[in-house]
Amino acid sequence: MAFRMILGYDIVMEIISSIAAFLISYYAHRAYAATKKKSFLLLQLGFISAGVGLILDSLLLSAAIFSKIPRLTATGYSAYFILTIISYCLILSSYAADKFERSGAYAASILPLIGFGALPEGILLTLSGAIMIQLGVNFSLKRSADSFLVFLAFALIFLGHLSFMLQAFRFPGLLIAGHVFRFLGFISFLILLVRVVKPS
Amino acid sequence: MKHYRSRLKIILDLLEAIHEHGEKVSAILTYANLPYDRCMKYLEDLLEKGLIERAAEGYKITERGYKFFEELKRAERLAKAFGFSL
Repeated sequence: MAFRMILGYDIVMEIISSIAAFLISYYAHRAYAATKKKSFLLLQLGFISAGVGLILDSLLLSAAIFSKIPRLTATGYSAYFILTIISYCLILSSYAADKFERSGAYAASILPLIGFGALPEGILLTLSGAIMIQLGVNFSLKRSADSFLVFLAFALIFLGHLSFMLQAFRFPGLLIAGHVFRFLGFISFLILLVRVVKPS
Repeated sequence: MKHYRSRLKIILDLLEAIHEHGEKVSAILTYANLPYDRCMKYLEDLLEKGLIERAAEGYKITERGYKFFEELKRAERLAKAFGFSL
C-alpha cells in the first residue's frame, strides 16, 4: 500500500472543494424543486456525496495529525473513495435519467478499508473519465461557456485522479499536482455557479 | 432531427413570451410558437397555479410567477451546462 503524505494545504483545498460541491448540490436541489426532474435530484445527491467524501477525508486527516493515529488517514481515504465512487455513479446515472425522461433506459458500487493507492484512484479515474467524455460531447454540441466550465471541471478532476494514480507508482511529486488539479476543478464549478446564479 | 419541447420548456417559453413581449395573446402565441388551443390550455394551467394573472389585454406574470420564472431559467442554465434537457 502506498504511503500517503499529509501536507496541510491539501486539507484546506479539500474543504474549499467540498464547499463548491455542496453549493452545486444546493443549486441542483433548487432546480429539482422547480422542475421535479430526476436528473437534477441525482446530480444533487452526487455532489452531496462528493462533498461529504471530501470533508470526511479532510476532517479525518486533521484528526490523524492532532491525535497522532495514522490509521485515521486510511479511514478518511476509505470514506472519500467510497463516497466519490457513489458520487460519480450518481452523476453518470443522472445522464441516464435525463435520456429516460427524454425518450421514454437506466444505469448504476464496493467496500472495507481502502488505502490510498493506484487501484482505487484508477477506478475513480475511469468513472471521472466517463463523465468527462459525456461532458466533452455536450460541450462540442453546445459550445457555451457554461458547458465548457463543467467539462473543464471534470477534465481537471480526471487529471487529479491520474496524478494520484501515477504518484502511487513512482512519481511522488505528482501528489501536489493531483491536489491542485482537483482543487482547480472545484474552483471551475464555483465559477460556473457564479454565472448560473447571476440574474440574466 | 426534430426536437420536441418538454412541458417545462414550453412553460418557460410562455413565461418568457409574457415577460418580453407584453400582455397581448397574439404576441404570446407568436413568441411561444404554439397553436392557439394548446397555448390557452397552458395559460389556464398557469392561471390556476397563480403564476400569471389576467391583465387588460391579456396576461401578466405574478410575483410568484416571476420567482418561478427565475428558478426555471437558472435550472435551464444548469441543465445546459451539464448537458441535460429541461
